[in-house]
Amino acid sequence: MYHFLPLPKHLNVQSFDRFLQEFRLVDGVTNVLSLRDLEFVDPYGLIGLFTLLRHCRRIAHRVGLYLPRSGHVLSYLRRSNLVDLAEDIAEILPQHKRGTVDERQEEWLLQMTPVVQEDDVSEVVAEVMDRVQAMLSKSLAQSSRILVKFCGALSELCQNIPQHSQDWGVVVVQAYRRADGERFVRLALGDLGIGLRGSLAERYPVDQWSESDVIRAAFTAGISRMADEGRGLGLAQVKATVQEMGGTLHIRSGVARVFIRDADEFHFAVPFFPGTQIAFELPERRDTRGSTSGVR
Amino acid sequence: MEVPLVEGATRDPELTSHRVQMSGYGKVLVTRKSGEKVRLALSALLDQRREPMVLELDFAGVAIVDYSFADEVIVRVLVNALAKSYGEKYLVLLGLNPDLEENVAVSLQQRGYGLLVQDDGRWQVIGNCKDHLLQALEMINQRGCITARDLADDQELAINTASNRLMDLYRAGLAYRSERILPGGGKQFAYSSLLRRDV
Repeated sequence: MYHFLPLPKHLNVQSFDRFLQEFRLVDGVTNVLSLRDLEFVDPYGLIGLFTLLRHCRRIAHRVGLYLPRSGHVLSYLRRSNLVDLAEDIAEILPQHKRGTVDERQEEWLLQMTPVVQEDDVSEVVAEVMDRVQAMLSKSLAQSSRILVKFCGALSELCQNIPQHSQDWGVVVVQAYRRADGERFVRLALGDLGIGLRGSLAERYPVDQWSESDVIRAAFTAGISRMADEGRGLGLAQVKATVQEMGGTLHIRSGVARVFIRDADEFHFAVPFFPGTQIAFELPERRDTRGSTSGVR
Repeated sequence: MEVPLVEGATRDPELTSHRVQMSGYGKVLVTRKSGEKVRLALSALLDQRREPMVLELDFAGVAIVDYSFADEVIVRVLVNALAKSYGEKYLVLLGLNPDLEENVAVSLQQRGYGLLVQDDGRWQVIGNCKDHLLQALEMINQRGCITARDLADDQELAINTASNRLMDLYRAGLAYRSERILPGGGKQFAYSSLLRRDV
């Protein structure tokens, strides 16, 4: 017996939260996340989908993933590594679609990759740097500033998974080009761990804090689960990078999601989902030191 | 973990200089865990040496240093050096491009420290260092070695003020201090540059 849970046609930060509002698992059957009508999924959508599959597996045991009708979307999912990772935890349906891959190539800087221990982070950063440098050399772009900033953020965000989540996670990085020609890089990562509240609870009275307060605290330099000096700088610096370089950041933990763009910070109440999920984006052009930089 | 070393000399004959090529640990220097291995190797090296010494960390060929690695290696080794846990040991950074420098500076600022960065015959302090101390440091690095009297005369300061400024530089790990016997039998502190002889 299967219980199908149809996901939105467009899967991103906002639609993932809308989906969770209606999300209910049924006991005693295989709950199938259905991507049948999926037309578009961004890196955060990929991470949300995979963590949701893991979540279903944890609480309902039998879980399935119904692949999209669209051959292009299915090929994208396969190239992203999502289907291969999902095969380890879910029944893939329908069986005959499993092998389909077309030749189109996105600019993957990192296909979906598990982050289990800190050593994985060095490998992830090295791989992204190599791929970005290969793209830079093709286009003769000069500055490495966005690369250092982006990879610094990637490293800090990934490290938080083995250091604080008490779980493992996944990360994915992709380069895009907007209709106006501007290029940007986007990363997403997520885990099903104890979340920011669980992590900070070891040192702070978080039961007196709202979920937004918890996220705000996590962005504050010096606030960390670890008591030793010099800790708690990573997320603060990621936020500073977003504000300096004209990027965006979504961070979701528990029942809150915070969106940061330039000096603006927006807080949203969202349905509960375990762990922490993050989307981070930097454009290539905005460089406060005056040079064009980034991925071409 | 082996430390790749190149030996050298500062302008003070008492103070040796040893350069570590950080690219020997990889071009991607990220995470606290990686940093901890490097820190332990550097600490072992500093513990072994008895003589006053400048440890130059050369980042040429390194593509990225994240905040966590910078804090774990640079700031923690600096904290131990300032506490004299290794004896008279000092840190200087080399080969930092502006992008890497920014990450290291943030880690230093977070904890209120400053470090000398040397590049093609020029030097600067990244992190925290007050302007009046920078003026005194400029004189030390220009002349190689000065006393409080030299600083007081040059900058028209009271001798106590000059002496305090030099002491602050020594405590911040930005200058080497040694005691000299004067011809008349008295003692005097001399403050020496941490930079290599060729700078």
